[in-house]
Amino acid sequence: MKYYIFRNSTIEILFENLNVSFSEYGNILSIDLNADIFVWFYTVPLNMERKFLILAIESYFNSIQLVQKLIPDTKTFLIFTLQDPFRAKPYIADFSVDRAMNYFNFQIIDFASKYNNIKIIDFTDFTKDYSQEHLIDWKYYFLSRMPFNPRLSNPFQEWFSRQIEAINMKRKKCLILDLDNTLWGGVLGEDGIENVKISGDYPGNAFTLFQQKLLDLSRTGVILAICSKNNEDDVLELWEKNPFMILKKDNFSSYRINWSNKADNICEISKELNIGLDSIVFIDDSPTERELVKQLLPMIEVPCFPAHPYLLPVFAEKLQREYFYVYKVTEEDKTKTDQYQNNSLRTSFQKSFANFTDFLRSLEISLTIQKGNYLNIPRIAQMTQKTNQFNLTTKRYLDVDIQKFISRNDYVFCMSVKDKFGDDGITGAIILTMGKGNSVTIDSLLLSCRILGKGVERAFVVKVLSLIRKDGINIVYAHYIPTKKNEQVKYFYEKIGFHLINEIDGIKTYQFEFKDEDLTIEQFYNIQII
Amino acid sequence: MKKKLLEVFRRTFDPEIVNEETSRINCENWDSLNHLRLSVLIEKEFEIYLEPEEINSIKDFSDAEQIVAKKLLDAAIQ
Repeated sequence: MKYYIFRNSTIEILFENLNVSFSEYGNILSIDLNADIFVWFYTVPLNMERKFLILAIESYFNSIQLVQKLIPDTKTFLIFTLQDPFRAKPYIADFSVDRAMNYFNFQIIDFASKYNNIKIIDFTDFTKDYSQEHLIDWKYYFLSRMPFNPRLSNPFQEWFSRQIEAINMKRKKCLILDLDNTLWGGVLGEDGIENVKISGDYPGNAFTLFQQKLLDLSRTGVILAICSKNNEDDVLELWEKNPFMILKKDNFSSYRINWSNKADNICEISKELNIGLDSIVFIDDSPTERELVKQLLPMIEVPCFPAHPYLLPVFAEKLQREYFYVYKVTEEDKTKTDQYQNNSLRTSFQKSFANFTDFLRSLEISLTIQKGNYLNIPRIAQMTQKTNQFNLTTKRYLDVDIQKFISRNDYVFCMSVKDKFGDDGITGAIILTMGKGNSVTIDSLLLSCRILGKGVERAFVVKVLSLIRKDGINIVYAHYIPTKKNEQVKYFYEKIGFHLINEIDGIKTYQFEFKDEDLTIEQFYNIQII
Repeated sequence: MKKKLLEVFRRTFDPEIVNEETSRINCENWDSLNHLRLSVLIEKEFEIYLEPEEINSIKDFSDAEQIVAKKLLDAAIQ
């Protein structure tokens, strides 16, 4: 990744670990268009009279608008919020610089909401951890115009790479929690449902805050689950009767409350939710349990649990930062817990039908197929990053890459699925690139695991094929690229009527020629195209 | 001390060409930014504080060596 940074001060030392080139101070006219990521990193100058300072700040947003026009919308543009590291004021009520700075920050946030390739980097998130004397080293400022202490280089690099990871959507999916002395103080089996420590005085109030933080986390799309050594009936009763529990049964997508070994329980949860072990974080106050899980399931993240309940807020923040950091929350993330729960409902419903087709018909499944557009691009990119199992080629893309396909007139479609039990939102995507003549190649095809088992995968592909056929496309090529996790789709294309042309090193290449009998879809799928 | 300082120079400049004779004149990538990196690294590795005048006066390896030696001696006396 090559970065190009627009800057107004000496900041090279902060970006030493990256392949980066810099503008001259305050120059917006030179730009290196070969860069992959563009960055705007200005700070409030330390050496200006206040009225000039305000004029300078007011000019930044215009400059950003100009720069934005130079940057292709297929490349990421990161804008740092503006900070005043010194914040010297002539008198208390002089808010003129703060006002200009806050207005600038407001403008860029608004601006970023209009372009998928622009992301805001909240620089206060870094500076809040430092006092002013740590932030500025005046000696180095006067020696080389560095507004920030060069000793902050390492922490800044760590922080910045976490921001980039969050933007690139590298996060874990599921948090599995213990109960006693983790979600509440005390031991349920000994203290009873009324007497476990939650709410009220310390330490109960610390556990309340921890549960609140976990609830917030689940609203960003993190799946919560329980793995605890307890009597299941006791816990169910507690969830029902103790009014102070913030996290109740419905907030967990799965639970294993029993006396078997936790590693086995975690494996079962992972299978039930269709989530790989390497996407799981496990929290337990007992060092023995943590050690057992670490030893038996080394791919799971097992952070240390704080020794005192009053450290829980910091711990919750650390969990969020290290494992679940994300730039933006999509609509699908907000309702993920419901979607995973609906799945368990469907499974039990299925048991009452002898015939699978009858079962599918009774689900009242509707599919909505949309072309890639401004609104769904972030979700499509997110799915390419996170989907491992039903993913034929496992190519990972960012928003800007999806935009690139659309700009080139390749086909990008996504699908949302709902049935009588609930709406799963956008859970499938397909990208087809234009080839020679009237041919296309399926670059990517992926579906979220939670919608599988309803035959929608075939319906989706077949519907898309019949759509592109109307554009005169008559040959479709496709590939299966094996990974450790996508074994289940190894024969998917065979099943839906593609012909295998060759197989080299496990990579299978297929061809599809349109014949009417291959394009029929069962009547009970209600399919809409938008 | 000399060995450690050489290591600091190697980490800052091209490690292939750094030796006790290295100076601003014979070392191509001894620019202002690397000068800054050198000062920060010296301060960090020897746990000393350099005054701006001292930072500016470093023109070659032996300048740096003398300044670091003096600073370490001052620290030892205190």
